[in-house]
Amino acid sequence: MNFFTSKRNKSSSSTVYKDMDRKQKRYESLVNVYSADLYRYAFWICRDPEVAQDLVQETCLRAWKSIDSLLDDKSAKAWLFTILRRENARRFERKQLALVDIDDYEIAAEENNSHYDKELIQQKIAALPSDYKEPLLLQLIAGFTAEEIATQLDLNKNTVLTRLFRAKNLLKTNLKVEINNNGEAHG
Amino acid sequence: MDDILFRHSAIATPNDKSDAFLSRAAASDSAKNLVEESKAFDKFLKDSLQVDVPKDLTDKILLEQSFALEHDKTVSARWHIAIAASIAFVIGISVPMMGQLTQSPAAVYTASTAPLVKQHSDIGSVALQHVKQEYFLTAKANENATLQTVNAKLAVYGAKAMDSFGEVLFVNYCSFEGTSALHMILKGEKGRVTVFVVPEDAGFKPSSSFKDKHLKGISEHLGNASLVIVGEPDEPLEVMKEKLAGSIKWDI
Repeated sequence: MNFFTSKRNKSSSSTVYKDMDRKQKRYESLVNVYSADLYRYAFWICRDPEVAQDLVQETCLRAWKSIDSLLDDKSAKAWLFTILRRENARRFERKQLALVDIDDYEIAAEENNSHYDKELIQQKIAALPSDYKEPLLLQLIAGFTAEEIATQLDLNKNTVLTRLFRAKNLLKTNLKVEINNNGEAHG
Repeated sequence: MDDILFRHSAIATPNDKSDAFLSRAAASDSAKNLVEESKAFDKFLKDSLQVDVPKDLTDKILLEQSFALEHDKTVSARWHIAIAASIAFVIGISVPMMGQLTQSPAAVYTASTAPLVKQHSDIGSVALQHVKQEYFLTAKANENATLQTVNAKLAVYGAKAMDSFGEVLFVNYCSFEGTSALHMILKGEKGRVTVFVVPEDAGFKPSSSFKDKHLKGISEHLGNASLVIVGEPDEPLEVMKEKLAGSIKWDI
């Protein structure tokens, strides 16, 4: 009896190890390829480097736990961003009280002394309503097409196009108004 | 594609590759300009969104995953332990009973002394194992312990900290492979540093420096205990050791 069990164990455990090795490599390459984009996306939705890092770590850990459910590597990016957005939603469920957006007030107060376009546009992006901000970030950071964003956010493609259009227009007009107001400072 | 839809698409998705969009974009100079302009604006937005990513982000992610892996292994290994424990329990109960039944003192003797023969492990590998197993338990801990709290616990080992050695995130006794040791987590220069104070009489094999894929550590004999320090690979452990050695006074 011993003979049979030991033989069976040996062969099955070696495939388990091979499998684990493959799984590990797959996971490491996902982390290497996507963690920077995930971080940037997280940073822009929560605007806090530490929270962003936590979010990405939680996302990756969750991804590791369910990596077997990812069948096609082509959908890895969409899959990871979905996990990240879900993790972020969880964070809000946990911290309902912290929902007051202090940053918005700071932005209003700082508006007059910003002379740098990049800094200004960063504030404007941060202050966009999330309906507009999310599609914009998914397009510009993650590089998703309008169709992919539509699947990701469960919207139809035309809605995504409209939101992208409005987000960009909003940023553009904001920027123009600001530059006109601070025209002297820029010159 | 009509004018309004084209304007919308040009601004929303200037990199649209569909034939309808591309042919419409090539139809006039003003259309071309609009697409170029909004591509430039996209680029400007993209550049503005490029925030710096923490350098050690991927390392941290993989470290956390390796701990999760360790954690899973421990959990899945528990049923073996449970069965082993049950068998040991049955043997422990039945052997002395049989001994009594057969009136053989020798059997009672061997059964009760056998577990006392202990295999002495290498202090470094026990420390690494321990840190990994407790990683999730202590990862978010921050007790902000005072010098007083630390000293109350250090006293057991005949030691006393004269001045603070930085932020103490966690301090408690722990079972260091069966030996009661002090387990502290301090804030190091790069990350969290775990410090164990292990009594000398535990008889672990000494190991002055040790490491594995994700962690490294050093240990030294001080007073009548061993000081074991474990941290991430880029943590200057010697600095921490000097700090601790300078601060802690030993009775002997």
